[in-house]
Amino acid sequence: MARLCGVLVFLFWRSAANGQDDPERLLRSAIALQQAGDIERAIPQYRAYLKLRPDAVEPRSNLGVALARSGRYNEAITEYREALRRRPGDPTIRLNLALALYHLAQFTDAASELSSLHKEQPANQQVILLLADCWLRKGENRRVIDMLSLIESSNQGDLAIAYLLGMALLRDNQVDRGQSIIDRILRNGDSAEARLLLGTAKLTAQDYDGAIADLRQAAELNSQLRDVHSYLGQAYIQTGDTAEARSAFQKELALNPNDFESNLQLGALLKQDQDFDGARLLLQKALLVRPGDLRTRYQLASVNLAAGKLDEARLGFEAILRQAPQFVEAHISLATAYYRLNRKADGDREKALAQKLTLEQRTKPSQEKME
Amino acid sequence: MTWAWVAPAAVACAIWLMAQQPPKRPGFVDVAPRSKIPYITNNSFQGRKYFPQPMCGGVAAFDFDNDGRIDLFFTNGAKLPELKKTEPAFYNCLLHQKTDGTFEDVTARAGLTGADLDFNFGVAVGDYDNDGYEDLFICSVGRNVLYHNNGDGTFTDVTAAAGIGAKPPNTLSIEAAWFDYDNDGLLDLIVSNYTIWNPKSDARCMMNDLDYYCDPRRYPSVPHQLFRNLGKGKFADVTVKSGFAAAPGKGMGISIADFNDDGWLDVFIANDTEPNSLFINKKNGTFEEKGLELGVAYNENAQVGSSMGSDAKDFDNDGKVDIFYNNLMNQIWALLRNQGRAFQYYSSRTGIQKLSMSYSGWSNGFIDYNNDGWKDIYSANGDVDMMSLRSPQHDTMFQNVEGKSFVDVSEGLGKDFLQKGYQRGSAFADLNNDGALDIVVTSLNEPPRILMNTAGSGNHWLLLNLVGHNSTRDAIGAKVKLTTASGRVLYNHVAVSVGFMSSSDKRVHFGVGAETGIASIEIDWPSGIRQIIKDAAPDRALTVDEPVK
Repeated sequence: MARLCGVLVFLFWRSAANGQDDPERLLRSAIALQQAGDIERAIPQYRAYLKLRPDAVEPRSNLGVALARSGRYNEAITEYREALRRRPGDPTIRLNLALALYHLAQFTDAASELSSLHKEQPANQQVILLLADCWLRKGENRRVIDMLSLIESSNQGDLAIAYLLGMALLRDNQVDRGQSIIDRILRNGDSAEARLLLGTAKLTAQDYDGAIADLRQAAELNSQLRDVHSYLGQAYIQTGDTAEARSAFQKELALNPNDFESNLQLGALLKQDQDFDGARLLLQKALLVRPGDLRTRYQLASVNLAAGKLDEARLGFEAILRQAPQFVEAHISLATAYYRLNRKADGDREKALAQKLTLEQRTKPSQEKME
Repeated sequence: MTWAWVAPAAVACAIWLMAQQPPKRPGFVDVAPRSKIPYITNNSFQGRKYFPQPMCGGVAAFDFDNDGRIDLFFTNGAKLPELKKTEPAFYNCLLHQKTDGTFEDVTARAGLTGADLDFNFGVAVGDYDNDGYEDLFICSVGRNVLYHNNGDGTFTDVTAAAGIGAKPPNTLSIEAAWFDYDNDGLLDLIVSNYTIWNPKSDARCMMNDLDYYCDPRRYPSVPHQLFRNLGKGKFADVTVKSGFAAAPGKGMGISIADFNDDGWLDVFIANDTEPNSLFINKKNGTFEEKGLELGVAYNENAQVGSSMGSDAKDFDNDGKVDIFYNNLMNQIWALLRNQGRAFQYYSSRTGIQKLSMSYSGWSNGFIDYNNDGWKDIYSANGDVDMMSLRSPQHDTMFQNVEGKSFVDVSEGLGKDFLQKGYQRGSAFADLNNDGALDIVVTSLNEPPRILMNTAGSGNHWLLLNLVGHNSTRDAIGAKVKLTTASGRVLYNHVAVSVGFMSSSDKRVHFGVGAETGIASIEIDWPSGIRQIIKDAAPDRALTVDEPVK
């Protein structure tokens, strides 16, 4: 009986509360709170309003913005998608959705939204820059070059465009063109961005000491600059200084938790240190950024091999080889896994395959001039 | 307080202070200029680059006349493309150590000029007939040769009679190592072959009209060869029967050790740009190549490097034999820790990765240069080609810090140690019997350096000359476990094939740090006999005869 009374009191209170707030008052209140920066109190107001007016697009979009501002990107994405279902193609909501996806390192989905926006609004510079950045992170350097080259001449003074284009050119080994962009950035005075690009160019040219000097200077000029510590780590790895590399990747990840290379490389370093759990965590994060990336999957399977999780390692290498049967290192590692699983015949088969592939790759026409 | 109290206290204080002083770091001084040495490593470089030229200058440290002083032997190149030792500048060289520590050239008298040979690479020292005199096997582009030591200061070419020189035409044989694989008390021979080559088939690689040495990957791999000692000076080629034919490579350094501790000697071969080989002795006259399975074939990312020289010793004194091999610049020298069931790549965690990245290493070896009981890593460096300012390089010494990490101490070892060049072969020996290991190094188109260890670390040592009677007389592979008075345990074994193209003093060296007593020396002879010597004193060379069964 007491329990029944409690339920009745609760229902009465709830009905009274609802009766006190009509939808328009709720919306006004939510907007006012959001404008005042009180995001945490605005969110329930929006939710209460949307319960009463589920088809309202603007308030749902506002809720998405509020959720994104409080770092709840997954919830924001749900709201944006719901809003877009009701108003397909809305450019503002789409851009906000892309931004939320970007923050969650879902660069493939973000790039997809931004590509559509770019088609509709080819002059929108914010979209161009975001899309270029997504492609850059996905390693799609050629697409960045193609897109930014079209607008480069009409935006000579835009350092952001120069920076992204320069980075893509250097990553695509187009060092000369990349160098001309660096020169243009340097004409605007020494800057962290210019030093970063210079360092990247030297890294590509295998001048590792030079790269480290420039990248360190970039970090001194702006320690918050994205990518600088990641490249510094990569340069240190090339000099064999794994301790400095580790520290640089850690700094990058503190600023930029979704940086692909830092997650991948630090994961590989942790594997060397036999910190297998730590390595797995980072490599899985790298896979979130670049789903299906073979290098990362190979490292992940290698971690399992080193950790003695032989069946998991075997499954990982087998899956890689189904997708990339020419991946010699995966054949070698799979052979090792088979041998350790006492599957000698399978190990011998993989070893022979690796040898055959190596031979085939070596007999491809050489670049060397023969006399 | 009286003076009677003060004096002992002062002495005690001084002793305590002395005990607290870190041992002095020894250096190395080149004493070669004190002797008239006619030998200059001569690879016949005159602008046109031939593939074998970077691999010239094998060296052996051994006592050929049993006078108690270590002598030296060097291999040399040949005129190219003629592939002949057309003049004395290409001759091999035997240097006899005199009582005053200088060296005299006795090559011609010994019959070892090699005037009838071609471009020579490695030299393997071993008393294959157990007559008490060390013999020589020399690897070549063309004919390999076995020289029998006649015991009177002369050598005789017995290759044909011994049946040990045959190989497929144009096979480059780089290095060889003596060891008794079937435990019959006779030294057998493994030869690491590299590829098929002759001056006419030499690929010429050019860039901007400048020659450079071609990538080895354009040449095929070939099988290594195993020769079984049948006794009475005869050998049989058992390459196919033993399983060696099934695992070809581009052989460089050879390291002999009982890696799986089963009492039978195994063979590690560093293969240039190919997976390294680890031939495990199956105790029935055959071997199984298990490099991949045991984790030594590739680096930890399943990639091959330019594996050069190698050595196999226990660097962390855990009783298991580890492996080291070096690589070219921008690759990582490999330290492989034996974990019992397999090897683990240890270059990163020990600091070797960082220390080695800017060097191209050739010969090398584990050497306790400061007698602290931890084997350090020496490497003879210099790039393959002469293309940049970074190509000529100095030697390096990576000091072992308690079996856990390594630090580069090269800069503190003196200007002679730091001489830049294209260093190739190296041998370790205690040339003046002072308990500190010395190093002999060759360098392309330069005279050799004889780097005497200045000693004076204050640490103690022991040098063991093991003489086999049931085992081979050289006792190659005999394992020694030394326990100091305080209970510290150190391991080593008899190893002659060390580094690249070279043979080191067969005596087993131990540094024992500050300890002045040795509780026991346990020797596991290849014959299976275990011998224990109790309460030995350090700071001496001790000859130990194997008990006769």
